[in-house]
Amino acid sequence: MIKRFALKAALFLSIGFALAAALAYAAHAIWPDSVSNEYADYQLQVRQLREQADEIEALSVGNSHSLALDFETLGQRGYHLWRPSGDLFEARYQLEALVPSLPNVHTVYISTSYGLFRWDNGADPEREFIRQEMYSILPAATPLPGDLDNFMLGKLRSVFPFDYLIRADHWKNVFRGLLVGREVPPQADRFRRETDGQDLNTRFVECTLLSDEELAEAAERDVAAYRGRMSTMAAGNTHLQRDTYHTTVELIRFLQERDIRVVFYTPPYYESYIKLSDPAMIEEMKQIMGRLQQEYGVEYYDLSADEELISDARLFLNTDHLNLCGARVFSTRLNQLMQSHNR
Amino acid sequence: MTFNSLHFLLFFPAVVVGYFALPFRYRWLFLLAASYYFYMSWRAEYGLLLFASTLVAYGTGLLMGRTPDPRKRRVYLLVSLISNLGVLFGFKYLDFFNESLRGLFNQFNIFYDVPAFQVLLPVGISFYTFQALSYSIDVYRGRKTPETHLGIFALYLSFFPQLVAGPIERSAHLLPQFHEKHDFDDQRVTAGLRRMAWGFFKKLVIADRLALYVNTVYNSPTDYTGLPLIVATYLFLWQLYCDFSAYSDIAIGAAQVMGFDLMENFRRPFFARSIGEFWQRWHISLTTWFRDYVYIPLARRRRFRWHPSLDFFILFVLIGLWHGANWTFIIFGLLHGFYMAWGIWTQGTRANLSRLAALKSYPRVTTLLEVFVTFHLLAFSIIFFRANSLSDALYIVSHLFAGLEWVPPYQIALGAYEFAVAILAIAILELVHFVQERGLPQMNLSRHPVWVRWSAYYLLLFGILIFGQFGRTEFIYFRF
Repeated sequence: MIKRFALKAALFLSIGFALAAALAYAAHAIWPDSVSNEYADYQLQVRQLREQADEIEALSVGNSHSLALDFETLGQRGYHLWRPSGDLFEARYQLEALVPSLPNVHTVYISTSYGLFRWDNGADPEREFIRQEMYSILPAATPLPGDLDNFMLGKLRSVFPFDYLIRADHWKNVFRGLLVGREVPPQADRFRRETDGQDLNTRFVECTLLSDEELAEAAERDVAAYRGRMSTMAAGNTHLQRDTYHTTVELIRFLQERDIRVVFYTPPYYESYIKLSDPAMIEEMKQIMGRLQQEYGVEYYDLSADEELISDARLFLNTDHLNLCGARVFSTRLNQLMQSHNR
Repeated sequence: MTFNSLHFLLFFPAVVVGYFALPFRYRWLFLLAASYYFYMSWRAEYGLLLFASTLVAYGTGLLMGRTPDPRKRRVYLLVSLISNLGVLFGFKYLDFFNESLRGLFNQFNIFYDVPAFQVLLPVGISFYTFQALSYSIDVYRGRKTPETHLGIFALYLSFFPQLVAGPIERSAHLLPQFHEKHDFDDQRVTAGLRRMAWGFFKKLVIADRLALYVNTVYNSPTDYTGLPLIVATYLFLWQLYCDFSAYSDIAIGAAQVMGFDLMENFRRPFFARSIGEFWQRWHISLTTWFRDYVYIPLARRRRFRWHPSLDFFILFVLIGLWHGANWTFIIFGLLHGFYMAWGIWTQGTRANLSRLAALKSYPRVTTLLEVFVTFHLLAFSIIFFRANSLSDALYIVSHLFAGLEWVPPYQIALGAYEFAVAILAIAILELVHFVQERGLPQMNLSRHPVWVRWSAYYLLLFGILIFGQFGRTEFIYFRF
């Protein structure tokens, strides 16, 4: 009886899989909302990194604050492997997956934002897709602790394009596209980016110019959004601070075992953003970094409240990110600090 | 691990395969290990609490079985009741109790400062505690012989399909099933899987979609007046039903796959013609629990006999409190107690009115009218069930009909497309309910040829895949 049932089940699943593939193919023309545009960027980043594996000397991991680093100014052949809203768990995971195949890397830079030790994308249902994208692209066979669901979805994504079937738009755009044809929303520029060979390692953030008033106005909104996100994560992972600290220690050990220099840095925030930020959170970040410096000898450069930088609106892309001009200034300063540290 | 997680989709087939692959004598152990793994995947510490509850109920049950002395038996029963209810009180009600006392003392300018317990409520504690209690009471009353096998008894309290959100099983029904050998039966397995798929449809396509609208309105009710509050309240009725009955469907289906029969927990509650009938169709395992262990003993206490309707107030306040430590649940219970009492008080008047209006000549109209009124009484009470606080609930009640200008429902949280999907899914659900209520045999899938059955299964599965909300939303009743 079991054998007959197993055969029927296999047939049922095979037909189901074929139907799913047919539906996914029908929906293939319309890029699903559930797939972020950064997914394509990340695919390209990892591919480029592996192609240039022998030339890379320095890596930058972390979140969008990595944009503050300009390798040209630092005089290094480096590569940005940051992800938007990336957390420490992902940084460690990426490094463990990729560093063994990068023989000449001697320095790893880790952007250390104010709330980094309170940040866990896996604890926020709206940001789980970041994890899934990472798993689908990186050559790793195990998930982060407690992240099995995202790992399986990520790996499944790399073999079957289920994003075309199970879509955040619930086929609204597909139905419209298949029925009306012409009113299909424009596809994301994923394919353009992927096919024109644009080097994502080059900076795409120009020297924008926002007024002091614009930045001050945006600060309130940005800080509130950041705070809301962190409270969601704190609710999703009750041991968040303990876990982030533990994973940072593991990350440092992993790199130091390979004689790789570990550099943490916090780039400047615009002054109105600092005023609105939770001082306890900033203090906590500083204390943790102090402890890591003391116990593991890592370097940490905190320019987040550098008075010369934080009040100059010309250097900022928005309230908590530098633009290209700001990145050059910051990287020059960072370079000087690193050199004086070497001496 | 929730039923709607990928983790469960791997866990469940592995358990089923392992269960049928093992010789009968090891199956209880395998299921017990799987159940504890399932439960401890939330937090490992929870497992200790469950085990402690198991030991107390098991030990007192054995002791009650060994002595004929009624006084000793009562002492053992009290030990079980006090320890189980004590744990439940400590985890679920202590902070609420303290907070209420603090508020009361503050009125008299008396300083009352007991530190808050502030621990996370263990998942499913209200369910397995009640299951343990029913066992102890049944053994005490002599309706159940004590279970001597600790492992089997532990499995009875921890059986993973129904551990976290019911149905609250009775020992006389479930315990003997763990002693029986269940062979693989493809008909039963198919029926179980079908039941699970239907549960997933209700949860992922309806409940979690409606939650987007309901949460938006109920989490900041003061932003709205009139229609959005009314729509959110109606939608919450379906959300709650679909969420909770989905859990029961998946639990019953999962147990059925392995050959176990769990009790039905829902029977198309929105077809109820009175509040009394509603409670015979809604969360049946809880209402029958309260009926057997609270209401009937209350009604039998002739020495302290009060007005019979007062029993309803006590019963429904307890049912309200079972759901959570909050004044909103107490008001919800009081309202239902009032509905039931009102039903008794006005029985004669309503019969006279019905006679005057000659409603007996129009039975369908009468039925529709009764269903309509019952549904709206429910909708009113559910405001207190869902509102985050008493002040929110009172705001909603007082603003339901304030500013009744037309606000397209799809302008809040759900777009027009998503709203249409939600309404269509509810229509499908109620159509299925209607067919089930009428008991139309031609709609029984197992009577149809394989291509009809498989087509229906694919429609259901792809309906879930395409229209499901896959956001890992927990089941509402996990909070209770």
